Amino acid sequence: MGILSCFKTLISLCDGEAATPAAVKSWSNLPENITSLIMDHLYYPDQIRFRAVCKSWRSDNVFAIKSADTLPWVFAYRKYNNDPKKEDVYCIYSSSFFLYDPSGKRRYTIELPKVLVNARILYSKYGWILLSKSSIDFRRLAFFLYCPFTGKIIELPTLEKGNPFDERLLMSASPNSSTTECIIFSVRSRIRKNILCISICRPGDKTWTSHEFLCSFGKIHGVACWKGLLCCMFSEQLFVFNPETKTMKTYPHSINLPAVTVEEVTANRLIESESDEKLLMIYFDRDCHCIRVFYLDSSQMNWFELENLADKLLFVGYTDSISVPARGKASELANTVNLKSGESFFSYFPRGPRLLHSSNAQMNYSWIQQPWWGWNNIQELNTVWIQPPSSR
Amino acid sequence: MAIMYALKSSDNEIFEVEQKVIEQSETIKKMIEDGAATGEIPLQVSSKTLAKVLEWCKQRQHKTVENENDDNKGKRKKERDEDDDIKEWENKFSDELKADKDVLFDLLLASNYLDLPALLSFLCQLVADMVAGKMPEEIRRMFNIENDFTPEEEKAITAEHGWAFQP
Repeated sequence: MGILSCFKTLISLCDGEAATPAAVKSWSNLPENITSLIMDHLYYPDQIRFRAVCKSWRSDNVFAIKSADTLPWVFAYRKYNNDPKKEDVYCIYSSSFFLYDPSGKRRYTIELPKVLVNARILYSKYGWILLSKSSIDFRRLAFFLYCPFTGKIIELPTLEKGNPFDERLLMSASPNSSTTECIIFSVRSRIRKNILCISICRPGDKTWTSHEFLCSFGKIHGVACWKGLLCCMFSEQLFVFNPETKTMKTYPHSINLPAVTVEEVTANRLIESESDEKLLMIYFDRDCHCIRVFYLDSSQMNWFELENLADKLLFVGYTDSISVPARGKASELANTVNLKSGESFFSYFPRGPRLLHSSNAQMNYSWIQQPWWGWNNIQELNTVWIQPPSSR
Repeated sequence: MAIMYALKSSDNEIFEVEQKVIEQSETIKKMIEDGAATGEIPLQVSSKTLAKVLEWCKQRQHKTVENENDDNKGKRKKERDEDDDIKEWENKFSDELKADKDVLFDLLLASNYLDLPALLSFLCQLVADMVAGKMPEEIRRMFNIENDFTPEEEKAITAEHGWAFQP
């Protein structure tokens, strides 16, 4: 490139500033790459408000922009523990719910769409919640994908009712994902009939496709989608289903795991770690009163214990177990397993002690427990971890 | 002897700068590599903005040179002290920009065009911190931006994510 042409390039590159008289030198004329960069540094609610400032800040490629959120939010709804008819803790009976933003430390109150009142939460991931509700035909269940951040609802086909406590649902990706196909799985362990039934559907499908296997391994302890496979954890073995070939394989656990009490089953113990494609398993060891984390060695399909989660942190719940890379705000909680019970939040180090409640890291969630005015003591909250839609 | 380059601002002020300092700009670095930077390098950046850009580049350069010269003895403490110094310097730099949003705006454009990724990222974080927790109307007032949405458009926007606009 000649000297002159190079100078010309530089001059034209700088033209934005030079050629702009004061009137055009306006913040609403910022180049789109700069507004996108600013958006990258904002948390999700700030991104929404930023885009509402003026037309040029309302960039169209907003789905390509990640938010600065690294910690999952908390979706919370009131528990009706005084009404025996409303004892299912996974059902949302109220007409509104709360979203807690751990980064902005704010609570938002949101109206629940009427069609979802009395629906039961089955799974939460990628900013979406999977729910079920009795359909008009009372023998069947209607299923919905709901994004509480955008209010979007995707109706899924109905499925015959089963025992809700022998059933798990999960999804392979966000319905918005452009890279991974969103598949919804229902796993039912019909213990008495000795049948394991897997049903599959995709957003837009009219019916579910079911596959039955003549085997029963008892209660389901956890489910996860890992490398495109559906993984189900049972007390004695890991069951792996390939949705492409529609074949299954089981792998007996290579290590002895202690028996699990009923209340310990109420956590999804399988977690897919997206950052390193590892399948993790959480264990509550009653002997050492600590939490233990195992990973699956995919070459031998054996479990090995992880002493340190290093660059990750885990969030564990019944409908909502997720692994988060320890970046940004989440780095304060690096190497912890985070649990919740109603309004209480706990962080543990693997094989180690519980993080102090007053610690800075714990404050990301423990502020939620502060008594909010206007609340009746009898009404407590049920909580679900939920990732803001653009955090990944 | 360090190699010096002469940068000429849009209002014809000359800035004598060390090659190492100005090479942080990918745009200028490429010019130097192409052998195009002989004599004065004319930049369509005002002297006021260019002075700020160079202030940033010199501080960054200072930091990397010191780290290279460090021996291991007492390094930790020194690093900690240095981190504090840099933080203090950055805070002062940020405060000045927050107070004069015209300079901030020019600096954003200049760092973009001169391809200074570290400065651009720093400035975007600064703007992000300034708008965090604020409502669109407050942001408009802060940056003197006109609301160019029609009332219908505005209604549709706030209806979509109504919760985020709760006071």
